[in-house]
Amino acid sequence: MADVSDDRGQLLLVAGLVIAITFVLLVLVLNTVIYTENLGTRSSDVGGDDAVAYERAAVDHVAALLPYHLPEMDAETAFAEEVEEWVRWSQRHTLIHTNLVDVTVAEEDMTGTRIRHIDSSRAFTDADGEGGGEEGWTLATDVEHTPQFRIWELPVENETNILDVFAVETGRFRVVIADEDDEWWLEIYEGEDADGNPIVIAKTNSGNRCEVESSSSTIDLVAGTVGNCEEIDPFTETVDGPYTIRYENADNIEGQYDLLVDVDVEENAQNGPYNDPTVSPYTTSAVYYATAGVTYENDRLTYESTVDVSPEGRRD
Amino acid sequence: MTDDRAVASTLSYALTLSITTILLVSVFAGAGSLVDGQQDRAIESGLTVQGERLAADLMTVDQLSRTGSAEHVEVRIDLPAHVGGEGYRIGITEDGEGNDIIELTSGGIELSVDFIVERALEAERLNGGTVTIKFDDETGTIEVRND
Repeated sequence: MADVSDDRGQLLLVAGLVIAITFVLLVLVLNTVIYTENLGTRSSDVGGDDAVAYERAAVDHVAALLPYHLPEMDAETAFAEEVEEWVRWSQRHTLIHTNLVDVTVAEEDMTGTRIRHIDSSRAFTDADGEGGGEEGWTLATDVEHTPQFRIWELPVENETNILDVFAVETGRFRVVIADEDDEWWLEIYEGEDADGNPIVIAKTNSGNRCEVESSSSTIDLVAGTVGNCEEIDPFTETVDGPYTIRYENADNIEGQYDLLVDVDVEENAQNGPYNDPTVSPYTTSAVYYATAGVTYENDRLTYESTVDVSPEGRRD
Repeated sequence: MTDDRAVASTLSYALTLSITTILLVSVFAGAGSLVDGQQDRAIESGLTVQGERLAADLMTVDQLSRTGSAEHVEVRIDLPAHVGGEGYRIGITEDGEGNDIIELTSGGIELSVDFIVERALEAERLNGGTVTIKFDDETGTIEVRND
């Protein structure tokens, strides 16, 4: 009888164990479900928006720097340094959020030319002194954009009256900008006001004209202004790229000019010869287009892109 | 008469034992199927969540790769090694109608998650762990593999 009493309650013990194990298993399953729910409600955003936003900011910044040129410096190097400075700033900002960002600019493919003539006592002829007369000479061909084109320091009041040539009524100096279908030109010559004082007259082929004193005779062909006079129609209203920029009767004007075009003028033999950067007219390189390599990285995402950038922004 | 004494107690004891055993077996079977059922449901919802996460990242890579200038896009995702205590396999394939699907299998459970990408896909069969989704401009395809 003693043995029997020791075995009593075994069944209940087994039942209790089974129920306990069942509860433990249920808890484990419930734990899995909670973990799954947790994963399911977590944000699945890997930072794609931030990567695209950073790329856009970088492209906007590079585009804002373009066209880039410095009077007497290597434009490519200076441009790359400017971009690098912005990158350092952006890195400081984004590293707070443990993202790695970088922008590099490729040194090739920075096509653009600044054409300058800064010798006020020299005619606007080419480097060989040719290009006077009706046939003129071509400064640049296949140009799509000319963000800057100014002519100034016209020596009307020069005591030696050097601008007798400038005052002739025939063979007036002309800037001719022509595309396949249309032509725009601007004549610049000397005239007299009612009191007989010398003035600068600028007239386009549409008949618009400006007459100003020589002291304020900076002519901006892009904005369509001569000093304070805004009557000149900008050439961009008449011609579309690609166009050719020519001078006619270049021996009948003296002064200075400075223009920036989006092509490498030295590459094309049709363009007039230019001097080395010490003697006018000369060319220097300018950064007109840039290729920006953008990198954005966080713990889950790596994004790398190469964007061609022009002054207007992304070029695709 | 003496031979029949205490028969009622023995019978009663045997009956109690039998009924208790039957009840316990029922409880055991019921609890087992309850746990099994709950585990299957947990695995199903777990697989769905992992499938949706993978699909979201695949579509993110696809979208980023089509921004026009992207050359290299890589997204890393950490998937659990087990779902509901079971290992699982992931296949990226097409259904009968040509739609992209992610097929997830674990034991006898099999389910699929739809997704839409425009780039071509190159995917191996995956287990849990770190999965890398990579787009390269040179190949023009999105590659999915286990790290």
